[in-house]
Amino acid sequence: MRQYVIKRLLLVLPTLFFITLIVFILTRIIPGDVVQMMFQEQGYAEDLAAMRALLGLDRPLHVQYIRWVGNVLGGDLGTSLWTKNPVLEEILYRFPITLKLGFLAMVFALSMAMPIGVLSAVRQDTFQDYMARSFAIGGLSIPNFWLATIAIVLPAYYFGWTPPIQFIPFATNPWGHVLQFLLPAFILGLAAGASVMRLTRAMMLEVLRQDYVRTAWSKGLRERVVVLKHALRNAIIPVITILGIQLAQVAGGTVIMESIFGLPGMGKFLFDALLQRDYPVVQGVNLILASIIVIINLVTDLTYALIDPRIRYR
Amino acid sequence: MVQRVEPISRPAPAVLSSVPRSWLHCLFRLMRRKPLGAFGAVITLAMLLMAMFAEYIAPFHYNETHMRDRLKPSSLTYILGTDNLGRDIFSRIVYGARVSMIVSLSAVLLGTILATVVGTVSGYFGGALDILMQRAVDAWMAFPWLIVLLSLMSIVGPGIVNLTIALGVLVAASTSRVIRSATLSVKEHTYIEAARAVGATHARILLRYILPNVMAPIIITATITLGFIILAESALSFLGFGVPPPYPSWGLMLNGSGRVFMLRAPWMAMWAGVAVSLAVFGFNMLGDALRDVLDPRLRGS
Repeated sequence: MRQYVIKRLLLVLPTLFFITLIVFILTRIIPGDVVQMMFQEQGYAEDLAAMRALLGLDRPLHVQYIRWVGNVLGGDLGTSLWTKNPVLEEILYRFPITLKLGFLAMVFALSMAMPIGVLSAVRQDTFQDYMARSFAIGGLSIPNFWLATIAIVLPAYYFGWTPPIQFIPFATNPWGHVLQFLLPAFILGLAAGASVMRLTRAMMLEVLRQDYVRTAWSKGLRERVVVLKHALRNAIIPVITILGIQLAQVAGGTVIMESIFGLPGMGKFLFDALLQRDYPVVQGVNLILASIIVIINLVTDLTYALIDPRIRYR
Repeated sequence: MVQRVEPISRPAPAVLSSVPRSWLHCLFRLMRRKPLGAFGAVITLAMLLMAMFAEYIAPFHYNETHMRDRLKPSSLTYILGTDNLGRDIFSRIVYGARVSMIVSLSAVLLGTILATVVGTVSGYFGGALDILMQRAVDAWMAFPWLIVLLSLMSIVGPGIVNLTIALGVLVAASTSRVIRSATLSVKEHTYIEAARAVGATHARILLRYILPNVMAPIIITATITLGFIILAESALSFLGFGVPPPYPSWGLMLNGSGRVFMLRAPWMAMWAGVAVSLAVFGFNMLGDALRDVLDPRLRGS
């Protein structure tokens, strides 16, 4: 087990290295000069040469990279060109909101997807199964920004009700604070839930055909015991591995949801920064999000190895 | 012990004729076995036809404004109503199908070619090259796709070509994993070993032996990815970083800037979303059915 953990940890390092490389290259592949573009678009840099020196753009590329990585490891992600505050500070300020949204979305996704997936597998090819599969496919096909727009427009058109426009901080109104997350989290969780439901169903179908389940049936155990205690526990294992991937998708979806529902989280911050060509923020948010997702994938892999002994000895 | 042998002269039990009489018969059997897949294929075909024959299907040009008929609900002239500039929504959806199809098909084609190269080389040669390439792909996949696409599009600038390339790179990363695992399993077959023994070069083995055998997963993944890319392109266009304004795009039609008018004219918010959902649904169903038919081992992926 220890060998597996060490090997897995070592594999993370080249991935993190490539992540820094990708983020670095992302902001250097601008056609033309970034300073020129900033000046033209936003009027940031009156003195182009001084701005270049400030951003360190007059040094050779690998020197820039090493300096940037050194800064990042020391906790300095640069300064936002728009708000003039350190990027890390801005991100940390907005991180809790995105975290709440993402967490709530995953809670919705799992609590909807697992029961429906199990039911769908146990009652295969019945009406319930087809309904469940249709919902899953709908969740995968329907764009979440459309659903969010409809969810805002239709109640407004027919009932005159809109979700709160202003963000409600926790201190002002705890219940209102939680309520305003519910709708965006639900919509965000639909797509992730659809994938989880399909995988749960597929895995349950496979497991229910196994011999040990047949033994459980023949022992005369109740359906609930066989399905939940014997079959589901084994079927869930691969589902855990895709949770990391789903979280990445949810993180991406927060950009849209926060923009539509006006929640000042990291996603909206990134979107505003993209509109304003605030590149230090773009770099910082990308780097942090990617690193978090790599770490979450690492944790799910290790959990997977913990639960399923067959993995450790590969 | 002597066994009694049953006489052979029993009449054969009545079964459905299992030999297809013609390709049409074959097609109907397939449709009956996989109704959802057939439905998906019909939708896909409809989308492709809309894209190819947009000029004949759409009553108006997509940019043709009728200033006196702005924000009208659906009527006989304007089947799905008009938007805030008086453009016919139905025509814009039909032309939008063309834009979506072109961008998505090109992106998937580009991405699949790239993924095939990366996946087969990585899987076939193995070793340090494989580990390095896989770490790079892992790093790329660690970024939420919307965020990295937005960042890329805001940096390289708007444009259909840029959009296609960005989407293609995204497709390449996720598809290369599937192709790599398919290559790994094909690599173990004995005929590959035999080919090496006879003296075939690596290039010949890759092109002549490995590639034809990984075609099935490639086609399946490409079809399913096509659905996802249509979704991705519409999300990007919705946020304003996708297809640039003169061209109609379904995502663009749902754009936030038009949201102000949506309270007065909710039909503006409806039909483009229905179009996207249908298209993605169709391609997903087709891909699922293809996978069940061609390679059931991939089920659940």
